[in-house]
Amino acid sequence: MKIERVERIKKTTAVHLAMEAKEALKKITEDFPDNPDTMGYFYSLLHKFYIQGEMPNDCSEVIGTMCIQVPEELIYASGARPVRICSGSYVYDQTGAEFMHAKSCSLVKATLGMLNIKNMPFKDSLSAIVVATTCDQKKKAASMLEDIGYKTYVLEMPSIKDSEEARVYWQSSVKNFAAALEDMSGNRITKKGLSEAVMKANRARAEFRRFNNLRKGAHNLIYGKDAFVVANGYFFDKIEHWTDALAKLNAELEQREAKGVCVANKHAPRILFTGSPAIFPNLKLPLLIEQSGGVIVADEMCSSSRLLYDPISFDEGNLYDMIPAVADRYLKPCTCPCFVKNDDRKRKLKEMAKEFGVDGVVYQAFSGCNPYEMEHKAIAKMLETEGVPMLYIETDYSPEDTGQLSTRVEAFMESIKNRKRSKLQRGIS
Amino acid sequence: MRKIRELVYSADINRFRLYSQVVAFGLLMYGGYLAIDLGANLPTFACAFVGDGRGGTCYLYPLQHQLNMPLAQFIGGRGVAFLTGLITFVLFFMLFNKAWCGFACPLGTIQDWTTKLRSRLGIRYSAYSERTFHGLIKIKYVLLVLLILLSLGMSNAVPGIGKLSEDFMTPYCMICPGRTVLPLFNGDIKQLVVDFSSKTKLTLTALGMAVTGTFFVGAFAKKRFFCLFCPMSALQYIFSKAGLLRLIKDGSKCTKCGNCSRVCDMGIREIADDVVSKNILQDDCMMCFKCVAACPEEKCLDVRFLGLPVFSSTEQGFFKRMEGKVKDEN
Amino acid sequence: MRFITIVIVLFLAVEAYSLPSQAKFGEAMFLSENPPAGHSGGLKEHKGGQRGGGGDHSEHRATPVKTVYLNIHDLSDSAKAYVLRPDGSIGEGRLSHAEGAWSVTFDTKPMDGSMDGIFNVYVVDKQALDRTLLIRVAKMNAINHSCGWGHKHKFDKERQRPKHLDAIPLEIIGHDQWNSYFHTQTMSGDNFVFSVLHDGRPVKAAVRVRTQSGWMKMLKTDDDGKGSLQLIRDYYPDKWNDFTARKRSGFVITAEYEADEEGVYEGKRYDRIKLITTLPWKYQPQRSEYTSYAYGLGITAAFAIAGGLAVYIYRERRKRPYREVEFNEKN
Repeated sequence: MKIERVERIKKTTAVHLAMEAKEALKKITEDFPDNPDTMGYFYSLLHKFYIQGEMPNDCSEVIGTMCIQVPEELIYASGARPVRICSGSYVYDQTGAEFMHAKSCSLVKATLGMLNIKNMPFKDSLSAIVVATTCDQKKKAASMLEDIGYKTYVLEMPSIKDSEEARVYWQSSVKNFAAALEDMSGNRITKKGLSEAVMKANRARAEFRRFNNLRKGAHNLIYGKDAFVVANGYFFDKIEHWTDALAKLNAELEQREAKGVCVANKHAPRILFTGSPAIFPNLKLPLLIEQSGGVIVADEMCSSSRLLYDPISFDEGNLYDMIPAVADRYLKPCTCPCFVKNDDRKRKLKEMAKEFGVDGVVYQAFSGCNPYEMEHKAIAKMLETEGVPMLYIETDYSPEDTGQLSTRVEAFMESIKNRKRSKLQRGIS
Repeated sequence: MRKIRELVYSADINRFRLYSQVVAFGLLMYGGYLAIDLGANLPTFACAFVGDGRGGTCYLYPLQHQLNMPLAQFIGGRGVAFLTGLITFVLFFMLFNKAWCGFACPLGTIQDWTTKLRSRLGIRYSAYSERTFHGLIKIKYVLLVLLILLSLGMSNAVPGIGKLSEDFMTPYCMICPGRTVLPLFNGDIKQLVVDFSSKTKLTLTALGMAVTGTFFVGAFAKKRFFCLFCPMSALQYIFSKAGLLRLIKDGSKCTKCGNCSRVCDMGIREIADDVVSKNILQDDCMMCFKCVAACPEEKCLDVRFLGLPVFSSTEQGFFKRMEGKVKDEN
Repeated sequence: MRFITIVIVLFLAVEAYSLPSQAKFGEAMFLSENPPAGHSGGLKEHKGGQRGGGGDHSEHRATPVKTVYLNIHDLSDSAKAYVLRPDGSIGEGRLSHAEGAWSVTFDTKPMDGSMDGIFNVYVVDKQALDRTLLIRVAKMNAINHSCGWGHKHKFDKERQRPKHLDAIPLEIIGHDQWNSYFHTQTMSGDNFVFSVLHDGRPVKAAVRVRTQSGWMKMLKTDDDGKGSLQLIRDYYPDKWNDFTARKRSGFVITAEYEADEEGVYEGKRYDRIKLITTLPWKYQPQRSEYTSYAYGLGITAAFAIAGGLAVYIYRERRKRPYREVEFNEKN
């Protein structure tokens, strides 16, 4: 009786997810003109993963990761593929409601919901889930996942990143993780394996940096929603394939730049998106921004630029140096608001606003996502002194607030356009 | 021009440094045989105890000799000689700033070779904790002060003690591993002794041999072990603000990823953590520019000579170097 | 046929000064950096003299003018001083008699390192007495060197080569007395090699050696005028604490030469000539007397092993996961 019920729920959620994903993908691809041809690979990635329920580019072993602090190089070196299990689905958000109270974070609820239903594409090859001790909700999710029956590895992370003690603690934590990975996979992490994994990941980051550099130009070569789709593909795709596809996209964007093709006109507000991660299918807010005439030229989010920015450098090609080097990369430059002191995020946003020629910042905070909610005031203050307008939006995965949000976003876009116009006129006169 | 710059910025600075070190080692240790003499005021360990073969002399040697004179004479001709020596030293130093340590110092080069050997053997390196590091870096200043005071003390009576014995001659050299190690490369083993001729000599030479033993183990376990205690480094740092070669950091571009600090042989943390200072050169820096090579941020770390760009961190250079590195390792 | 006899006697120069001057006919005349005992004409700065080292740094510290002293008083009016400069040119030596001592003063200018090296200083004195012409020659290798000049001549073989002057009737040349830095390097136990030249040509000779304690030795120079002797240890302080590695023992080599030769000098007829020449030098205790490789390498090895062990043990200990935090229990 109970099994039957579960099976029924599984089936219906699969259908609902497919519908949700289809709708979101349709918006992404059809509501906007001039999608680059090479974006097709990434659209089909999402289609395959979310709608068809299949893993792209076959893989034998998957290790699920929650949070970007989980060192993927080590997972690659152990022979598995890291898959970021954070879900952006409203359907799962609803099924996950039984784990946490209504006002908690949609992302964590959705992830729990997804894992509880167990019909994600990689369900058969998932050998373990790694949860870093970042925010409270993820911490608690770790124990809940264990209760559901997942093999869960809790990666201990300090909540301060600047102190020597934190660094030493984190390094030993990552070393323990590496040893645990060897146990889990039965494969030894070798010098060769790890250095190649570092290289694989670095190549992906190099390509994403190239992509971001193309977005720096005044030309508006690509919409931010596509950037989010690209980054989303990284969550589960085979890294080499993903990197190759992004290289092709970059090449196409370079051609566009040479030809002067752009997706939006020069005066479109250039937006920097930051805050709680925008994960497909929940690209509600980014889509609203770009439908209102803005272009997201940059983001400071763990689902995209933060995930794919910092590359690893090591001094000696031995494990004793490479593993701490990997560890450092996942702690020191991280701008996650779960850290006590997070001036680096302010500096990062300030620098990004300058480099990407940003006209305004949109700050998304999921209701219940305490760290982002609590950090927004400090960021707002910093941006105010920098003279960059910011729109703070608290939302969740439900589509109910779309109308209200669209009004606010449109108003923000208008105000930026006015600012730009008056600035331009002042410039002319 | 841009092409050339791109090429330089993507270059493998470590390889270039290796070549430079080998050339400098040859020049400073054997240059004398080709009648090359860069003078006695070099801001690097071109050890005076290396015989005819050496192509120049470490300034600490004449400095200690020159300081061994009555204070009153500093006003006279010998004072002029002292000043001339100091000025020559400073001029030499200003030219390359601390890069003398990273690119030329023979003792540093030997330590780098030891490090290479250790890395090949797959034995991990040691690193100091932050607190220990900040404690240890003061030692070189203590050594510098001692070196000056002991030298002066031989010619100037200290009330209650009187003049020091002439056996204190070049006190720092007596405990410097450069004196014992570098002449070995010219086949000279004369320095590997304990001198029993007086208590002072006995103490100094025994200390010197102890330092030599520690030097080898230290350099094997810890990258650039000795440089942290080098009084030359302390003396140099006094003048480093005047250096023509500079290491500049643009803190706004820094993500504090720590790559620079991770590859730093000296273990300097400020290079990653300090996002305010522009002139980021620390007293222990040897200007090897490994940090610049390991920095993935465009122009975040910048090497300038007289304000002109020499080497700079770039995204492209970083990824190219890392590709090369992984290829080398496998 | 010529009959040549050459006798070489070693004196301890410093000791000789302490004796009352008994200069008389036939006694060897030699030069020294210090005035004979009892004369206060010394201008030299004595550094660390009280510890017995005795001006051993003077050779590293150049002065524009140098004065060297003779041990005798009975110099004839016709005595002449010669100076051969390091670059091979002839300099001027001013012979003077002041405060009861004969001395030669010569310029070592310019002080820019161009005169870096060895000055050969000679005093030649001729007297005809009892139908014999006596020619006395005192030679000295005076080091004019400052490390501040930068050892520019360290590869200049010509500059380093010990030189002689053809005008000197009888002359001793010491070999390997200094290294390429013009620092003296003679130590006890060293084989001291020298040549004797008569009018610039090598002569065969016999040699006698005497040490501080009165030890003497005879030896012969070969056809090339070359001879060598091992400088024996002659410095035996009572207590090891009194030992000083920089202790300099001086010695004088005297060569005598006689031949039947007729001539007139200053209106006096002679049918025999007699030549006496001297060369003073200094030497230090042998390094191996007071240094030990065994201790040196032993200490190095001990520290290397202890250091290595310390690192190893530390690393092994670090493998244990827990680190105790200790508190100060005092109130």
